[in-house]
Amino acid sequence: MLDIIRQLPRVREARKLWLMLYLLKALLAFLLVLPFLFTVNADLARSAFAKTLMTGWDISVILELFGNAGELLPAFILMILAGTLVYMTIIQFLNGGVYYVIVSGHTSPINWREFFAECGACFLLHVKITLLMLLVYILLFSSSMFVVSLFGATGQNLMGTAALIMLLGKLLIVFLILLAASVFSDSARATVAAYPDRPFREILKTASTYFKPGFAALTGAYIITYLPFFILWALVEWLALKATGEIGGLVGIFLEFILFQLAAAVRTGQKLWFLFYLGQDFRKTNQGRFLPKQIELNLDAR
Amino acid sequence: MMSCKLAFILSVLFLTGITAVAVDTLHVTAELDTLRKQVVGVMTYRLPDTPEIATFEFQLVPNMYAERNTPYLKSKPQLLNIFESTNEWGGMTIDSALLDGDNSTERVTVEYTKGGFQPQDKNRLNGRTVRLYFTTRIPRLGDRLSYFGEDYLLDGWFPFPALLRDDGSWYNPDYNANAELVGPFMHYDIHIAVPSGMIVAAPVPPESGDKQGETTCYRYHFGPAHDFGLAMSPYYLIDSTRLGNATLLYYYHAEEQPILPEIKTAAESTYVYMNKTVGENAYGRLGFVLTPTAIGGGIEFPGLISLYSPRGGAMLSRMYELVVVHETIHQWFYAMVASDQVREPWLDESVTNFWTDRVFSHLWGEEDGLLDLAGLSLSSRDYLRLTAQTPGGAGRLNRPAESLVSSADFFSVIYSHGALALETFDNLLGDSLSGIFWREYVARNTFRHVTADDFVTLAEEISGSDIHKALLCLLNDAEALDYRVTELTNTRVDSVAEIGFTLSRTGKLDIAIPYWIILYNNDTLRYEWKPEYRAERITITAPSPAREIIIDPEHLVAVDIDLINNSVLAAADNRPGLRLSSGVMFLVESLLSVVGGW
Repeated sequence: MLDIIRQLPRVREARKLWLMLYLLKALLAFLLVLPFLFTVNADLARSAFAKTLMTGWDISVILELFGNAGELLPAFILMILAGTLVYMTIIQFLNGGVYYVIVSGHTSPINWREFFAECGACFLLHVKITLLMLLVYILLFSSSMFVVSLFGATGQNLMGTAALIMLLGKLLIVFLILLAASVFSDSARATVAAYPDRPFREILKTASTYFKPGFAALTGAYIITYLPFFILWALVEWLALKATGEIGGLVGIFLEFILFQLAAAVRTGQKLWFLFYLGQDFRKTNQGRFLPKQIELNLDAR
Repeated sequence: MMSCKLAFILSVLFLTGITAVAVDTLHVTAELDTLRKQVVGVMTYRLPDTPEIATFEFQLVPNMYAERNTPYLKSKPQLLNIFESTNEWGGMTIDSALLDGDNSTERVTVEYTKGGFQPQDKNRLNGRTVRLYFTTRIPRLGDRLSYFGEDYLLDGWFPFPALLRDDGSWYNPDYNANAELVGPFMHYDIHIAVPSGMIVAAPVPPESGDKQGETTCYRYHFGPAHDFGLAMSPYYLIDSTRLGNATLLYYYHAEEQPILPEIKTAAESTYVYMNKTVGENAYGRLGFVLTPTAIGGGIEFPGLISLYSPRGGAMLSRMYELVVVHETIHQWFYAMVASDQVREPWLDESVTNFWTDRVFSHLWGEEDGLLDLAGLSLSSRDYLRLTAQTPGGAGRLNRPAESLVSSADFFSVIYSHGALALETFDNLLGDSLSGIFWREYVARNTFRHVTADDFVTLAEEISGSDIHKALLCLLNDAEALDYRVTELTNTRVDSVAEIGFTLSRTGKLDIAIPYWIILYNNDTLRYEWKPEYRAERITITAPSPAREIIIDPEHLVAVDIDLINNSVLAAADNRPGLRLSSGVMFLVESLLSVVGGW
């Protein structure tokens, strides 16, 4: 636990990296939403019916909007999918530099030249990991649904709140299974940063060797870093409704926007926090190319 | 026993009142075989004295579940999958038939759900007695005929007559996918033997229950009704409520106890509201049974309602209460006022769904919170508008069930668009005429099968020709209806403002529609537009420029497909668009975080 908290100063030190990763996400989301804004605003700006949207998420307005512009929703979904693909590709590029910073332990100041050199050098390996993980996620999702269905039979007779708790329990099981896979993916990416010259199979083997004994602790660490974000996210949702419902007007909308962006930025910070913990833990057993030269030359033994 | 019969006759006379219609009695003696999952029995029916009848036609509803290619199962993939995986199909066979005691089995023909009986002699069948010996196979997890574990739901479980027309011919409905049972109003004299220990839910309490060894034989007298459903389980617990002269009963399993308060609140409030608004329920007794069937939702029978057991998701909204309210309203518009659900399904489901929305608003307000979660809100009316706008939801309302290809289209047109069309009609009637119309509709048609013509004729009688014309348009016009206001201009002329705007519409609904002009000095000018053309440019002068113009400000025309274009603002307000986009941007960022990890 202390080890996890000790990583917080490192997150602060890597604030430029944090800002860059958040801005990339925000910018892409903004670019994707811009056409949506122009399209829907043309309908909403002149209509009194849309007023309720200023204070609450009145689904009836959204339904009118999409119900009558049937082509709008599929076009928007297609655009989001294309944007997600672009984002995934950029992230695979950046992963090289990010995991280099995390596993090397050097955060301040980040040598950006070195950072982007690593991005380019490890790009293909990170793409390979992503493709492999896509497959793993699909398989795990189906098998976790199977596990959940076994629980489902047990809880078939539950009603009311108990049934709701059972449903949340099922979702938690799926979440934990997928989370463990995500932590393995991080381990593989950390291995790429430490041993970029190894063949892909070796990378996966090293990642497994690291992941297997510590996966419970790593998953636990992820949850510990995720909880503050989750609480903040819930708080943001509550405050955002207060901002638009009670303050209202453009000020309320602006405040809500800031709160949303705060939550988005904190989510990026959360991942960075967890990775700093994983990085220092990984380094204990897998120093790879970050082994100090003196130890490599066996100077301390002389 | 005599006193019982007398009480029964008196109660029938009381129920039917001065509008009493001659109804026949159907006698059924049967036994439920829980080992073979079947009902075996005999149905006895004395054919009426008039009109002249040469043949007899009857219905074998369980044949809807007899094989994979039945018209009913074709668009019920969920049901079909279950039957195919379990290989347990339903069905009904006629083992033998007697006419006045003579074996006439070879004279019976059966095709799908239609049974026919052609006597050997050419004599009339009037006054003669038909006995049909039948076996009904109960499918595992069906919809209206179903068993699961030791629970049974029996509907259409014995052969019953087709509908006799005035000219002596029979109407035997085609049960396609979206059709529900259409039976004649009859008195039922039912004897059924079930394993002792079964708790039986029926529309009336049993007159007797004789235990004979391992079975108990119950006898029921019920009617006039056009169906007789039963549900049973050895595990039922029973709760009841007395509402004036009526009794509401709830049959549930122990694990369903937590949902009971929601069911009771919705059922009792609806029952009281409907009694007060459209007229007393004729049966005065209503049972709710929680049954494990293959479908989510409920099924209505006269005096009895089958409900599914809700699971976690339903607890986050009032969706379950919506089902309870809907099925309760069927006790008026289905059980008392029957219709042909095959040829004119809107008279059943559209009317019921219109009242469902109305009861929901009455119970929980205009924003009735069908869904109200984390700032997201959806009312029952929003839900109707959402489901009415699916691609298959367009088109004419007054049409047979078979003309709608899928269940989704049927739901969209008949349940949702139909409810909105009737809301429009009801809005046109106004509060005072609405009360008169619906009370008269129920009073005049209790224990009758109404037709669209009956509905339209009564509308004309009560409301006059304009609303009658509008109703015909709502029922028969396939073109989508949309009112729009656009191109608002304010020009200063001397000391007054000249306000110009364009009103337009699609669809053929030819009624005067109100519109409001809200001025910058906060005055509201109220006008009506009687559209002679599809679009009209209107110019008026006012002491202050217009800030906003709204056509149909009180949503009189509920079928208007787009409410966003019903108003126009002089000064554009980008705030709703900005807020929606800000929320969507956060959603996209969250999605990117999930897939990209950051």
